[in-house]
Amino acid sequence: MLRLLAERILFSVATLLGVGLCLFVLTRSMAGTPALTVLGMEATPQQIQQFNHDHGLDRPVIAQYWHWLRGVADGLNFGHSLLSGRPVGPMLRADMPITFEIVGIAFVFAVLVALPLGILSASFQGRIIDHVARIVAVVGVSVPGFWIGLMLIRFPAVQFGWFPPGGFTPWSGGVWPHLQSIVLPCFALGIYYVAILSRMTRSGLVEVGSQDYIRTARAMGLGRGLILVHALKNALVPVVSVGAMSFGYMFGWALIIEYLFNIPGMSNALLTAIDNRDYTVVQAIVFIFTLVFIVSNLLADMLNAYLNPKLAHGQ
Amino acid sequence: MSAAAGTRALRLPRLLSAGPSALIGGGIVLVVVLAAVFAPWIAPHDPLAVSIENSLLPPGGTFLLGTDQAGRDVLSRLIWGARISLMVSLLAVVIGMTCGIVTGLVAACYRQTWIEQVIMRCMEAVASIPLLIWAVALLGILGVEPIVVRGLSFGNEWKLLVLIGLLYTPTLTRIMHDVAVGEIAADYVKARRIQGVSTLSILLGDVLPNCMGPLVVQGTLLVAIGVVVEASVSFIGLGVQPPTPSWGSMLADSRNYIFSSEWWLPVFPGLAISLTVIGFNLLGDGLRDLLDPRHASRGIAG
Amino acid sequence: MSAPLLAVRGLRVAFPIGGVMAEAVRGVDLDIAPGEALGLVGESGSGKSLSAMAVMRLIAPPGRITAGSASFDGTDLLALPEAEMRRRRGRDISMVFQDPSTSLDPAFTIGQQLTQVIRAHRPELGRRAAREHAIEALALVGIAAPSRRLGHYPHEFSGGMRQRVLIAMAVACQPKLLIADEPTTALDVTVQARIVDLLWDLRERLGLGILFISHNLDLVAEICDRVCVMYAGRIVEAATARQVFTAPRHPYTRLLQRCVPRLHAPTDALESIEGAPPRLGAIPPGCAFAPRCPDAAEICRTEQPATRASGTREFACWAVP
Repeated sequence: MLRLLAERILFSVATLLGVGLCLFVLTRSMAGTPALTVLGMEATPQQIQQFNHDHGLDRPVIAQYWHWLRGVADGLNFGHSLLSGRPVGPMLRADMPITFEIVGIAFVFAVLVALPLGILSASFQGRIIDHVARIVAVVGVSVPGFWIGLMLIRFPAVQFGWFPPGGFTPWSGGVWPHLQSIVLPCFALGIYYVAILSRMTRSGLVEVGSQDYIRTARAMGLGRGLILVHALKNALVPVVSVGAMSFGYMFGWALIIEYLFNIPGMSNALLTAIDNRDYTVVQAIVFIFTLVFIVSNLLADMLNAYLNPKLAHGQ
Repeated sequence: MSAAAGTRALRLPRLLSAGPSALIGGGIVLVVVLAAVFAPWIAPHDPLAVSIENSLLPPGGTFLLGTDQAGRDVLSRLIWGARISLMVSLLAVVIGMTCGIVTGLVAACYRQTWIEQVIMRCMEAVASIPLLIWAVALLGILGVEPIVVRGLSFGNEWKLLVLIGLLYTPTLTRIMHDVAVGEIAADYVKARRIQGVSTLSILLGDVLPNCMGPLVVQGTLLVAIGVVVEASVSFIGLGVQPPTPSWGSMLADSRNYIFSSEWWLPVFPGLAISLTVIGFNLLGDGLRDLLDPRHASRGIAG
Repeated sequence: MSAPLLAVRGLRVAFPIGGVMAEAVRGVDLDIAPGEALGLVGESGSGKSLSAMAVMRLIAPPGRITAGSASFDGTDLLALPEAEMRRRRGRDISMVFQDPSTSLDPAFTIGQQLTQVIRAHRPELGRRAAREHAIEALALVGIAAPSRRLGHYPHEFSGGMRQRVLIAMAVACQPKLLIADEPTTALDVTVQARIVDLLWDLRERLGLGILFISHNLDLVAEICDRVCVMYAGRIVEAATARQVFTAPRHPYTRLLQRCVPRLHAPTDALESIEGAPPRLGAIPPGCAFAPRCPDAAEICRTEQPATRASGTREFACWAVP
């Protein structure tokens, strides 16, 4: 088991490094040099060459990559923005927590709503709550989150004025205004996962409900609460690993949500950097996102492996 | 022994009794596909025709769903937008399927060898890439200009669909591999080999058709995802470029009018996306009950 | 004769098939005296398991108990509210099922599952006391090193051991009646005898009544005091084990007897009863066994035979005097 774990981690690290290299090569070779952006359109070839040399852009790609990796490993030094010259790390330090907060809260929201919804649907199969939950699920999985966000801005925010229509109030602006400014984006981001997780919970519970050990629990006179615990502990195994993976996927959709709501997080920084051809920033941000994604997938695999063999043995 | 011995034939009565989900989904998909195919004949107006005097008209009259800021008919742009969305999503799935089928089959054939290991590992690596982020980053880096090959201009949406297709490959490879491994080990394949049929013929004639069920189901669901991805990327401005109508870019344009009363600008494109996606999702779920016995009745609507 | 521990009267259980309610249990009467071992025998689909599940009120919808009463210790179980019935399950009346490999929750240790049952019925017990009880219960069913095995998961036990654990759970609160639904069918032959021995050992020690359900007439007649034979949802014969063994009256019982190959009287051909039991919802009028009965008369096909008592025996047949 430990060997499997070590192997998975090693593979993930290798993937990250390999993917990072591809990223590096792409940004270096395709994007062109930002020299023109920085120095202006009238820069002479010598000035461009000097710029490139100063920024180490004329060395072989592998060497540049190695240099960059060492910088990251040393002190999270992601280099300097080619546009402003400021170090990338500190720039991101302000943006990262915001993105993580939005995704984190959206994820917690999704879980907190999906689980009870799934449990209720399974317990009252065929009744009103089950049908309502099913409709919510179909809609939630199909309607794009960013359009829900757009509609939320247009109607509850602009039309009725219940929420600020975008923009982001940091914690420093007060707890309540901050929370108000993130309700809509977190809701829009999370609704898709409410749909997925609630359906998985429901179908898992329904399947487990017909298992023999639930019959045993009932025959032994266990109370409804305890029977639910038995059912959940078994039914939630796949939900947990899907949930862990979903956390990683959410960062992708958060990009659109941040753009829509003008939230100054990492995703928006990525879009700005792309616009400016500031590829040290692009590289750093995509690298971080990929790292987060790989880690959450790894976590999902580990959770699955940990929870499953216990059950697989019985079969 | 014919190939039918190993084929699970799809019988019509079962198809019809697949339940309302598949039929509703199929119906919606059919409408969207027809709209996309017959766009030039169905669309009441030219989607690219700019007429400032007609700008921002509310729904009604000649412009059933209103006009946008350039006076273009929303309904016509929606119908033409269906073309782009479907083209991107369907072609992306086709690319993914082709790559996935080939790599999955090869991996399954060389089971327990290093070839299988390498292929599956590579797929795992590709699957570790967050789709949307990389699509955006790559499109941003590569630029949004059309690609011109021998005089033929391929708009930015082609880059997008190739990208999405490649990023779909790991999922489809894995399904193909898992199912093919099971089929290859089945008795009927051994029987065919004894009959002296060539390996390629067995693979293409017997194994592949039996694997199509789960692949078709997954493909349908991936089309749904593709529609949302295309819309999202176009929304940010890195997808379909103007003036080609796309539901995502129509939503992007509508942002300028979020504070004013032109409600029809954000509502209709979003409805179009939602309905299309619901259609493909329901169809995929319904097909899953029919074609994929491994996961019967575990769909989103089930 | 003392009051019966369990007295079932007119039990009927039905399931919807093709939109119509079809009866799987069609009027079952049986009595179990305190400490008595009653065997319930029948083919698959005869309704024997369903009858037991009905008494335990474990019939899941869309199946329903449509009629009858089950008087246990003076109270009609079928009329109790669910909360009341739950209190009795596991504490006064318990059940063990056929397949031990799927009857234990793989996600919990057997210690956890045992103590859950114990504390459900004896909430006054603290964790340590409940644990002691669990260890005692495991020792009672013959599991070695019980305190160590409490922390093991079901998959770490063999099939026979798992069935012992389930029996331990069933008797942990010292019930008055234990229903065993084919408890040995899914086990190795060598283990079967030991489980039966265990059950009878517990019966002596705890004064348990046992309802032993099986399709094996021989086994049941050997170990039980009385035997009820079921066919197509009705009890066709109820007699002492000795009577069933030596002089069965009902044609079905007689045929069942002859089907079991015996070592001391080898025959050339294995006997079996021609035909198959009627399907649910397709039970012919009259006696359900008539189509397969060698002694069937005209009346058998039109009217259901009434149950007649004759000494310690009851049976339902027109053909037998």
